[in-house]
Amino acid sequence: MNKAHLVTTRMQQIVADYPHIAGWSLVSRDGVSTLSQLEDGLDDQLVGAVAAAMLSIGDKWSERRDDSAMEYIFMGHSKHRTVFLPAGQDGALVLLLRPEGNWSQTVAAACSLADEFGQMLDQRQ
Amino acid sequence: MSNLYISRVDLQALTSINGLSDEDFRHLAHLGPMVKPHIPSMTDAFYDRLQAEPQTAPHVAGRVEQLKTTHIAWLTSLFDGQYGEDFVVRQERIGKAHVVAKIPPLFVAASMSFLRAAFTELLDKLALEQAGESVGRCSGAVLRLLDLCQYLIDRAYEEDRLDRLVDATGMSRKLLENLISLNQR
Repeated sequence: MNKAHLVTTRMQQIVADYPHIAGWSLVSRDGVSTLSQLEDGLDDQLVGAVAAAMLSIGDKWSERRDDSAMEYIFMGHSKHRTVFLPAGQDGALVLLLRPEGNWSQTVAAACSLADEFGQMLDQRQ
Repeated sequence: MSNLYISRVDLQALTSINGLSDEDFRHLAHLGPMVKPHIPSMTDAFYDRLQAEPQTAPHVAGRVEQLKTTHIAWLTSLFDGQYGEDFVVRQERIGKAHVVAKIPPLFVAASMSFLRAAFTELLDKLALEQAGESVGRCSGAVLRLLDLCQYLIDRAYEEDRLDRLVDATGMSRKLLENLISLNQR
């Protein structure tokens, strides 16, 4: 089973467990979206670039503050939530959430998922 | 288009569009003996202008003679007949020196504008026809070369800004380019 299929299958399971996940994208740290399932009208290039930018700034902040490892960035808007997570050395996972639902549980699950994807992606190198 | 810039895609495009050619380089080298004696007075006029302008005066204060020497050397080099890789590298180094000296890009643009006008006026006064040259042809060659120089110097500013952004944000150059090229709504 190839990695794309593994990721997609895994994401289907997660979305089934956390139905307020409205969309997701797996992107490279250069901002290129490799796999995604997004709401209609949402540009995967935009999502990829913004995700990579957020995580770069987050890493820089961590480096300058206390050199701790960044786990996630959670962004809240009135109509949606977004979680950006590092996935291995060169990847990032983005989850788009509807505002309802227990986002803290979702974020915890997302961290495990991002680790899982990160290990998968890092094995490719 | 010149054959000198085969390894540089950007310079190939620039010279293809603006027409800077090996023939231009021959004209520039031929112009050298006629133009070089006038470069010191052109430089004096240029620095008089910089010293008179309140925004540029602080950048040259206390070191005008040193700057004039460098400027004369640079202008002279434009008519030395050597326009290959070394020439390109020298212009890029000049750009970096301007960035390090914190000279605003506006001043480079204004300076190049001064030189374009000054050279055009100078060429109009020289008896070029007696040397087998035409004012129009030579003016074009000088202007096209100055445009190449300005492009190479300007690139240093862009590179510096991108480097600073990379350093401040941790974003890779590739990510920055991807962000810049996102479709604008």
